[in-house]
Amino acid sequence: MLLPRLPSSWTALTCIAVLLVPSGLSATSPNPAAFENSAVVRSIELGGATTQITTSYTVRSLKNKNAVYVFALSNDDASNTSWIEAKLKGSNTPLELKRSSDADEPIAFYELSLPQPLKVNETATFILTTVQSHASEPLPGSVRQTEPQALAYETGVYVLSPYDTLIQRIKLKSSTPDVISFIETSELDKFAEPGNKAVVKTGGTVTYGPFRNIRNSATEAFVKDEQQLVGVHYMYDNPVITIPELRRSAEISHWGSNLNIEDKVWLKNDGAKLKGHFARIEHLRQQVQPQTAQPHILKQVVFNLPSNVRDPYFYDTIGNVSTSRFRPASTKKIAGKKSSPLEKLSFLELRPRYPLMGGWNYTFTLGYDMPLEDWASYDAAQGAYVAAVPFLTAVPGAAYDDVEVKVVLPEGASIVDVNPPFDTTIEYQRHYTFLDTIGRPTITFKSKNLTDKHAGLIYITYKVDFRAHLQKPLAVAGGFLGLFLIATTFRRLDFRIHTNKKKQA
Amino acid sequence: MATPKLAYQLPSLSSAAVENTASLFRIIALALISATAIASRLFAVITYESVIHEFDPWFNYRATKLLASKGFYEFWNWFDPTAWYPLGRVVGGTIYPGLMATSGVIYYILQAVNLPVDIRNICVLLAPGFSALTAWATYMFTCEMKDKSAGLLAASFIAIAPGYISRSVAGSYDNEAIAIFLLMFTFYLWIKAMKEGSAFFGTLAGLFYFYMVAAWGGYAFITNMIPLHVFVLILMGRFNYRIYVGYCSWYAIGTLASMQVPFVGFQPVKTSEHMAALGIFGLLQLVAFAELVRSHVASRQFKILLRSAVALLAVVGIALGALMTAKGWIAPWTGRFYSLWDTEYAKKYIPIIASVSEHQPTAWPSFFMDLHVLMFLFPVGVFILFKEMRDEHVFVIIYAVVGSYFAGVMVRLMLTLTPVVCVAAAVALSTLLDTYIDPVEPVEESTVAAGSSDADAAKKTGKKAAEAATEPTAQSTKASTSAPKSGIYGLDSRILTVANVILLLSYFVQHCTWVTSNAYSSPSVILSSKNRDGSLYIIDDFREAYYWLRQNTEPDSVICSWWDYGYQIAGMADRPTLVDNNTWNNTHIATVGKIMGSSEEKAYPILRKHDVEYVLVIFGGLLAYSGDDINKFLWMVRIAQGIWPDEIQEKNFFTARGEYKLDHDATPAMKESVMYKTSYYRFAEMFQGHAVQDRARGQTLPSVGPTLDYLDEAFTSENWIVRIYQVKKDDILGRDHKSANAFMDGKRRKRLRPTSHRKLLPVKKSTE
Repeated sequence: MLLPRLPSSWTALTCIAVLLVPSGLSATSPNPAAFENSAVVRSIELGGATTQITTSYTVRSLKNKNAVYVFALSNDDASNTSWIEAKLKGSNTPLELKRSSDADEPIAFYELSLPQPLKVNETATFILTTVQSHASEPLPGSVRQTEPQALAYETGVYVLSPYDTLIQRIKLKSSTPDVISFIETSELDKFAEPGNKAVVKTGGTVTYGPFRNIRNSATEAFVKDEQQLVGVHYMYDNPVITIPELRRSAEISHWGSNLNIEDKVWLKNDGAKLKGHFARIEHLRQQVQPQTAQPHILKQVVFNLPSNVRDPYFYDTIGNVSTSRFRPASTKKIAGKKSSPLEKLSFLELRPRYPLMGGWNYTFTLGYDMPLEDWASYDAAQGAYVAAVPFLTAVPGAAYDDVEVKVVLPEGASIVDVNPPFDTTIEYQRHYTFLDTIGRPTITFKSKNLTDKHAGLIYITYKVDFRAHLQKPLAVAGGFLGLFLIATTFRRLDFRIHTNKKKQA
Repeated sequence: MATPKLAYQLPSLSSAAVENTASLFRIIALALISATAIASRLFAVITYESVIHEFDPWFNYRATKLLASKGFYEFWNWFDPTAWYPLGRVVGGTIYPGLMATSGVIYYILQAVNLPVDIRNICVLLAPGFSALTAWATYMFTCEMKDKSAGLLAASFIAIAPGYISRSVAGSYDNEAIAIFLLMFTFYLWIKAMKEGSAFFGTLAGLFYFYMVAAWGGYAFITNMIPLHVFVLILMGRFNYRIYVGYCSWYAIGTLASMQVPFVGFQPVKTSEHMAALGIFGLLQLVAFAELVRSHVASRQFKILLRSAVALLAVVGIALGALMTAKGWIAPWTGRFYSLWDTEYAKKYIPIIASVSEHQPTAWPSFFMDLHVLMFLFPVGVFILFKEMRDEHVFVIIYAVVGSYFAGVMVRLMLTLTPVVCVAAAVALSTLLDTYIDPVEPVEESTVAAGSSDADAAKKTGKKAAEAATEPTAQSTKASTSAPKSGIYGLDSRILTVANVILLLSYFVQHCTWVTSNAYSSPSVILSSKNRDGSLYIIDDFREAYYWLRQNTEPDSVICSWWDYGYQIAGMADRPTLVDNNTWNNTHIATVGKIMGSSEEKAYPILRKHDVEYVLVIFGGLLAYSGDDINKFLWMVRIAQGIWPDEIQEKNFFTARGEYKLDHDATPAMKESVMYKTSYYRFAEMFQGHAVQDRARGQTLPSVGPTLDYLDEAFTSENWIVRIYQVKKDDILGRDHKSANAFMDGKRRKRLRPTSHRKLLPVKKSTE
C-alpha cells in the first residue's frame, strides 16, 4: 500500500493524500484467450439496503504463465458495488484485486493477481464476493402502517466475463420463502439448455440457468444486445436501514489512557414509505398482537460494541435518549490468554424516541470510552506507538452512504504511518481541545458508499516525545502563574487618589 | 484591663492567631457553602439529565445558542421569522440579553482556552454557579448589616433556601438565575457607597445595576428600592453628603448605562416606574442645596426660604408631572404593575396574565415551604435591626416590608423576598448565638430579670453585661475562674439554647433538601413515575413528539399549539409557531384560542389562512397528567372571548348546571370544539369496549369517540401526551372536507380491495 510521506514540519495544516491512484491504467483490454470459465455460479442474497453477491468462477488456463485473471462487472453493478473481494476457493486470504478500467467505461474490469501463475489446462476456482448497497427498491414505494413491505431486485442474468463461459447459473435467494413474482421471458431460452426451463423457483430461491456456451460477454455489444434483465419481487420483513451520514471521532488520550469514540449517526428507515399517517393506536395494537406486527418498522438498532467498552452514552440534539439499554460483555478473563476486545461483544440497544416508519429519519450521537492499552501498544523497536481504531461499528445489513472518521492523536504526536483497512481519502488536520496549546494531529478518513463489511481497523503508528507529555501541565501551570503574578502586582499597587488617613492608621 | 468572668475557659491564643484562624475558617465555610449551593441544585441533573427545564428557559437557550454560534452582533439584530408566524419577532430588541450574554462570554472564554464545554451544559449549570455567587454577595451584604458570623449564616441560608432554589436549579436557565446575585450585589454596593460616601462604590453599584437591567425585568425593584431608602433617610432627617455622593453616582451612571439596553431604551426617563428614582435624584439636589444655603443663612430666614421653596416646588412638580402624563410623555403604569396592587385586576382585564400560575397570589403554606424556619426568624431579625436602626438597617427594614407585600401578591415574587428573609434571619440567629456562645458572663446586677429566658431579653442583658464587663472601670474583683454550672448564665442553659438552634437548623437543612428534591427538581419536559420496584420510569413524550417534528416534517411547516409550548417547539422541534411564551400579541393568542374553541369547519379557514401545517395538543387523559390542554381550555376560550365575544362564549362550554363536563353531558360547543376532538380522537379504541376513562379528570367518556374531517392524525406520542394533527390541504375537487369524507366513506364500502402491487416489471405470477 502506498503511504503518504508526511511533511516533516507541520507548516501546512492539511495535506491531502489520495491513496491508490488507479495504477497502471492498462488500456489494453483483457486477453480472451487466456482463460476459459468452466463454470460460473452467482448467488445473490437478497437483502434490504445491502445485497451480498457471491460468484464462484471455475477456470481453466489456456496458456502458460497465466498470472492475471480479470473479472468484469457491468457499469451499473460496479457503481453500486461498495465492497469487492476475491479469494481462492478454500482459502481465507483475500487476493490482490484492482480495478483496471476507468469509471466511465461501459464495463468495469478488475484484475486479480494469482498467487502462482497457472500452466495450460490447470484449473482454479475463484470466489468473488461483492456487496451492493441500495440495489433493492421497495415496491410498492409506500405502504400503510398495517401493511407488509416488499422489495424488488433487478440484475443482468448473464455474469459478464472477458472469457468464454461453458456453463453459468444465477441464483437469487430471498430470506423468506415469500417471493411474490419474478421475471421470466422467452428471451432467456437463447443460451438455456433446450427442453429445460430457464428459470426455476424452489422455496425462496429463484434460479436462472444453467446457460451454456456464452462467448466473451464483457463487451458493450453483448450488454446492449444479449444481456437480459431479470428480477425478483420478494417480501422483506426487516427494516431497510440506511445510514446516510456517519461522523466518527476517535480520540486517543495518553494521559487518560483512553480511546474515546463518538459517532454522530443519521439513521433512516429506507424501506417502503409510510402511506398516510402514523396512528399510535395501530402501533399499540401491533405491540399487543404480535401476529399483526410489521417487522419492517424500525424500533431499535443493536450496535455490537467491543467488550471493553465503558461509559456508553446515547443522546440526540435535544438530550439523552432514555430508552437505550447497554449490555456489557461478560468480563470473565481467561487466564494467561490476552483476548482481543473484538472477540466478545457488548451490545448497545438503541431505541430511537419514536418508531421509525418507512422514510422516517432519526439522528443521534453515540459515544463510549475504551481502555487504551487494549487498542494501542508501544513498539520498542520503532520507538513508536501503534494504535488500532475501528473504522465503523457494523449494523448488520445497513448501508453507509457517507462516512467520515476522524482520529485525534495525543498532543505533540508525530505520525509515522497510517494504514486504513481499505482505500479512502485521507486528510491531515489539527484539532484543539482540552487546554491544548499546539493542537493535536488529526487524521480524517472520508469514504462514501460503505457497508457493514467495511468495519475494519485503522492502524496508526505515531511517536510521542516525553516532552510532549509535559506540554499540557506546563502550559496550565504557566497560565496560573501568570494569573497569580498579575493578581499579586495589582494588590501591591495603590490606585487611590486620596489616601484615607484614618484607614492607614 | 480587668478579666471578665468567663462561663467556660477559652484556650489562650494571640489575637493575631485567632484572627488568622477565623479568616481561614471563613474562607473554608464560604467555599463549603458555595459547594452546597451548587450541589443542592443538581438533583435534576442527577435524577434526569443535563437538560433545559420548562418553557422560558428553552427560548433563552435557543437565543444563547445563536449568540454562541453567530456572535453578538448577529444576536443583537436577530429577527426571528419563525415565532409569531406570520408576524415574526424582533428578538434582539425585545429581550433582556444579560443572561445570554453571560453564558456567551463564559462560552467564549472556555473556547479561548480550548476547553470544549457544550453551550447546553453552560446554560444548565449557570444557575447553580450563580447561586454560589449569590451566597457570597449575601455574605458581603450581611457583613455590612451586622458582622461576619451573621454573614456566614445568611450565606448558608440563601444557599439552600427553597424560595431561591425554586428558580435556580440546574437547567432552570432563566433570567432569575443571575438576577438574584445581581440584586444582592447591587444592594451590597449601594450600602457600601452610602456608608462610605464612595463614588467608586456608587459607580460600581451603577454598573451592576446596568447588568441587572440587562438581565431581568425585575430591575425595577432596585430602581425603586434605592430611592425609597434615600427618601426614608431624608424623612428621618439623616441626610448627609455620603448618601448624596453614593446616590448621585449610582443614579447617573446606572441610568445612563441602563438606557443602552434596547428593550429599556428611554423608559428610565419616560415611564412611571422610573420616576421615583428621578424624583429622588432631584430631591437630593434640592436638599443638598438647602443644606448649603442653611450653612450660609441665618436659621429664621432659612425657615421662610425653605417653606416658600417647598411650596413652589411642590406646585411646579405636580403641574409638570400632570402635564407630562397628560401629554403622554410619561407612560402610565402598565397592567402588570396594576396587578401588583389589585390582585383581581389581571383576572378582569388581562386574562393572559392571570392564566399563568406563577402570577397567582401566594398561598400561606408556600411561605413555610419556601422558607421554613426562616419565616419565624425573619421578624425577629427585623426587630433587632429596628433597635439599632443604622442607615443601612433602614434599607433592610424597607426591603422586608416591600418584599413581604409583593411575595404575598404573586408567587414568583417569593424570589425577591427570600434574600432579605435570609439576611434578617441570619441577623436574628447570629445575635442569639453571640449571646449564648460568648463566654463572657455579665456582671450580675439586681436589675436583670433572672427568670427571663426569652431570646431578646437574654440578648439585651447579655449585651449590657458585656459592655459593662469590657469597661475597664467595672468592678472586677471577682476572679474569672469558677463559673456556675447552672442558671441563666450557666453552661446548661447555654448548651440547651445552642442545641436547640442546631436542631432547628438541621430540620431546616432536611426540609430544604426534601423540598428541593421533590418539588423543584422536575424539568417538566421530562415526566417520571415510579415503577413498582421503586425505579424511575421516564416519560419522555414531549421530546419524542418534538423530535419527530424536527426530523420528519418540512422545516417550514407552521405548528399551531397553545402558547405554553411555543418556546419548546421552537427550541426542540425547530419549527415556526403561531404563538409562544413571549405573550406580546394578545390577538394572535386569542386566534389560537378561537381555533381550539370553535368547530372544525370554523377553525379550518383560520388554520389555512395562517398556513398552519400541524396542530399540536397536549393530552393527559391516558396518563392522568393534569397540566394538559383540556384543563387549560377555559383560558383559551376566555382569551378568545375577549376579542370575539360574539363568536365564542365561555358559557357555552359549561353544562346547564355550570359544570365543566367532557362526558355524555358535555355541551355541543364542547364536543364540536377542535380541542375536544383532537384530544379524544381514537382515544376510545384504547379501551376496547370497556368504559372510556379520562384519567386526568376522572370522567367517563362516550364509547364512540369524535371523528375528524379537516385534520389528520399525524403523530401521537407513546403515552398520548402529545398529539399532532396535520391540517388537510384543500380538496382537489374543491369540495369541503366533510362532504368529501362522507363520499369516501360511502365509496369505501363498495370498493373492492385494490390490487396489492403495481406492475412495473414484466412479471409472471409465481406458481405457488
